[in-house]
Amino acid sequence: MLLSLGITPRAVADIAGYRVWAVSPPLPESVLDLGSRGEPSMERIATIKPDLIVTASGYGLDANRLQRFAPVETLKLYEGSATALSDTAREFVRLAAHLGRRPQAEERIAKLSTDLAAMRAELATRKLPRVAVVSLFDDRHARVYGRNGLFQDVLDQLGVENAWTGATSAWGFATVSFEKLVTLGDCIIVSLQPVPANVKIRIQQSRLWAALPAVRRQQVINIPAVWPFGGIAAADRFAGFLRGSLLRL
Amino acid sequence: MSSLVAIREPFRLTILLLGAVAGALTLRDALGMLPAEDWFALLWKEPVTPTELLARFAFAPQIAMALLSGAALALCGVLLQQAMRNPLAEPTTLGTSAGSALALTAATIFAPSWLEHGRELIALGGGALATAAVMLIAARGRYSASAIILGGVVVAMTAGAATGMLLALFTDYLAEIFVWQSGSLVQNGDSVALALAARLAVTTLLILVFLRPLGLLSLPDSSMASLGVRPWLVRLMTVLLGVALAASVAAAVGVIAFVGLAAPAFARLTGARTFGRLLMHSTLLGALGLLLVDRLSAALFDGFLPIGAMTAVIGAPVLIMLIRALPPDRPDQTVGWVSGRDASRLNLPLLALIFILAVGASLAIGRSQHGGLSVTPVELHYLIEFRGARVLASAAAGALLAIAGGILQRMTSNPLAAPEALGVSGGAIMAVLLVIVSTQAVDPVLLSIGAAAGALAVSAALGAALVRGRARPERTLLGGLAVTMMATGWASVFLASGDPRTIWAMSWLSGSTYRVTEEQALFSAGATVLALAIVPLLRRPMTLLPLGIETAAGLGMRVPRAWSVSFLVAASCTAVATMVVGPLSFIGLSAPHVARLLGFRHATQQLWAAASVGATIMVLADWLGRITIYPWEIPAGIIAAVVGGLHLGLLLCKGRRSV
Repeated sequence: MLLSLGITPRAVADIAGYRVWAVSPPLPESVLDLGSRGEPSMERIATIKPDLIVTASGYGLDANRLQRFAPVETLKLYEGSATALSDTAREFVRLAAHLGRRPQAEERIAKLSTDLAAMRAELATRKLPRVAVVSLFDDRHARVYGRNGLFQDVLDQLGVENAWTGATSAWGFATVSFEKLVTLGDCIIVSLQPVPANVKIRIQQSRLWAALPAVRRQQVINIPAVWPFGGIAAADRFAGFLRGSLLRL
Repeated sequence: MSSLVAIREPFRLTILLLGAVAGALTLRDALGMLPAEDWFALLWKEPVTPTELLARFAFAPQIAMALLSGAALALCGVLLQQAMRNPLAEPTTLGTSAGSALALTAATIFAPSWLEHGRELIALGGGALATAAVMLIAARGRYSASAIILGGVVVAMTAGAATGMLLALFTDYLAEIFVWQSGSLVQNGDSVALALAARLAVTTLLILVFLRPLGLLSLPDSSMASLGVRPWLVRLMTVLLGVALAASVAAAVGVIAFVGLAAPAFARLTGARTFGRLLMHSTLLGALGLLLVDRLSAALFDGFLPIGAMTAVIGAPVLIMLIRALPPDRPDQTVGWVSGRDASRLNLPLLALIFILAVGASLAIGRSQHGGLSVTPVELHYLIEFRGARVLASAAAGALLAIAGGILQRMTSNPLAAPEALGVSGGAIMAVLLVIVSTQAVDPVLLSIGAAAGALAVSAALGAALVRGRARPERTLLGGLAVTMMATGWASVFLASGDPRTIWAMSWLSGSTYRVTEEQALFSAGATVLALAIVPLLRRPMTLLPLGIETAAGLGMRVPRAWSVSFLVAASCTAVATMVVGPLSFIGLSAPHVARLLGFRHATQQLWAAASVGATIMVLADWLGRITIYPWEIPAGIIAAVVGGLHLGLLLCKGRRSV
């Protein structure tokens, strides 16, 4: 979020993870690692003397303990409201206002809205099948994204129907076996990268995977990594990849 | 008439009921997919439609897998329990599953290409290596029952902690391992089921060939020897057979706890008296039982719950209810697992000095901004804040758990007794998970209250059972183990669910001191001082109870009262430690052993020494965890378990044993 506002943070947690799973916007090399997202190093925070600490709810971080180093902004995201996109937009604006960059944030959100609307119009000219967005992490199970999640909101905005209408966690996904994907029937499968190499190989050997309608018709779309619990930038990134792939079908 | 049969043959009734329910559910699910004639058609024709494919490559192999895994695990449980004369023996207590998990985890991270060629081989290799380590430790005790099981627990705990360390460092990449750890019968072809069937067939054949010597294992070693059978050889062989089975199942479907424990328990309860009967009945019960659990999971939760978690969650309460009805068992109390060395080269003040040095190093030395080690790199006023609370809490938790473990081991004369086995940690885990799933965020105050409430609830249940005078320590341990397994099951479900808060849950489960506050640290330190002061008051029961119930009672000890008091102290110690630094339980197992092996044999001395050892290990673990991969951290509990486990294993290997 800070990067989207044109601010380079002094340090963030889990830089390696960010570069693999979120990718964009890119983190400059100057940014220091704080350690894990659940347990950022207090000692490092103390030594870099930050002006502001931004955290998100859900990682079990105690704002009171961070408070003594700098003011703390806790972003309230994924609290089961089923409005991930508007939540993240609201928190984005709140954070930007705090930093005196509210216009930039509002501009960024307005741009996302117009982009999504334009993509929606573009996609409306096609007759699109339903879409299932999944992360494959072994040869028997997949993580499928739905209600409560950022991707669901983006799909809604794009006028694309999510094939997965089943229950999901507060963070907007469910872990299901491949059988569940078979029962989804006709749909396009959008597979988030990266998929570990060994999993890829074993999935290709799976009789069930091969039997999926989308696989038989070669309608499996691989899109680069997008952080499923991200903010405006992640929503934008996801929409862009999805649009490109759907139009190429 | 039929009720008469049922009373005389409870096994038949049980198996009939189990078979009928499991069969009906299976049939219902099968016919829900395809009509009967299509199922028959699948016998000779290739599946075409998606439903046919599902039936042929998912449903049928899954049913087969449930039956095969259930049978194999039950068989494995019988073999291990027979070899160790201990109803607590289970595939997981030998370290096989933990070894397989470590091998798979390491392969996933460092050599993913190996996995494509056969993760079964990797899992088997890991399981076999772990077992070899167990045997190495047990060799000193000539493979006696308790030597093997103690080695098994030490190896399981060390390997488990090493896996935890890898998982803590590479969380995002290991969703696959999470699913594997909580067991899943889901199949996408039939090659895995066929492979397991072949292995089960070979094992069964071997068992049939060696049925007689296997059956003799329940006799005392001397009687076996007089019948011309070498006890250690038969025991070794039996354990190896069990391990091979366990590794096959683990490689195929993941860790499915509890079946190996429950099936033989049910079989004994329903009247299996001879070894042959026990084998047959357990196998049937295990196979049908696991099928029933699998189908129930499909019916109730739409298959979301991993099977390993289901077995733990369903089976544990049933086991707790059954424990009272178990036929009396005689745990092997005569074997010397105590060091023969009496005079100690280290005395208590020296241990205290080592502890103080550890605290000093841990407080003063940290990582500088440029990566090197430096003395007090942060400003002094932060020192107490960052490190003081954590060091104090680590020390307190280590000492409390060590005292709890020492008390438990003495009162039950069971080398496996530990706070984890008491179920108190399990109660805390369950309460905390309940708090997590019923709220969206992670609220430290609520969680602490939850942990305390869970721990105290289990302690109260234990206390109530003791006051009634019905629960003997072995039974209570079995019950506690069931509670812990159930808690681990729920924890696996939560970890497998992929909720982003797994980061938090894992750090808590692995004993991170990251979130300790000053108030918590002071509170636990106070509790530790109190516990250290209470220890001398327990001298009499702690000295007499290890001699056995009859002896203790004969010497004028009021045994039930002694139990109640000892349990209360142990449970309170565990509850406080758990509330502060999560369910660390390995210290409770290893610290008293280390103290014993160092030569502290008198009750008070040993418990104090154990507390000092436990506190030192935890403080060093917390320190190493903070500085090795700064700014990342390794949870102190994981380091303590790896270090403590390795050390304990080494001591056991070298220690002169007094058999």
